[in-house]
Amino acid sequence: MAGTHDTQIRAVLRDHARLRVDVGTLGTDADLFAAGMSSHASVNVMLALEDTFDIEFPDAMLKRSVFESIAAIDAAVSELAPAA
Amino acid sequence: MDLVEIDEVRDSIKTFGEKYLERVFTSAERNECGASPARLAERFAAKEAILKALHVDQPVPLRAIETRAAGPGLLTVHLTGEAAALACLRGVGSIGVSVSRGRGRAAALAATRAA
Repeated sequence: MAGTHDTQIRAVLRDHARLRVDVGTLGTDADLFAAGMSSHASVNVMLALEDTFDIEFPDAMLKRSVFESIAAIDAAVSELAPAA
Repeated sequence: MDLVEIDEVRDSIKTFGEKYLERVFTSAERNECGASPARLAERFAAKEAILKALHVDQPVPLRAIETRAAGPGLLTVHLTGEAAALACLRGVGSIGVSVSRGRGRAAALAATRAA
């Protein structure tokens, strides 16, 4: 099931994650790193998410698992910007 | 070991500018690398190689890993905060890194030595 920020997150991934596949074909739990997102691209995704949702990821959230799937990103964004 | 496309770093600087540089690199790294995407890509690859060598599965800000030029193709590593704590937990006393570039990519290899 699509999360609260699914559309915006997919747009960020489309522009910055450098995935090998169309992000529209990925399920919310699909592994983004397995789909081609590099560690460097995940930094770009983080920065773009911050701009999109007007949030800042704290150091405690700078780990691979936070950015490994659309569902995980959605959970993080919801935690940082509940009203977004 | 880690590989980074130099063009990706160039694009990140163009897209996110200072925000990207501040979140990823320390002041010392920026002083040593200047505005060179190739040099910055080497440092990014080094940080990722170090994280892999430390078997990281917990939060570690990239700025907690500082690399310094130590000679042609060699970097020394200075860990702070979470990265230093993790190295201690893993029994790592020191980390050496070698870097190189070719075909539009920067590569880094990190090796740990027990404390």
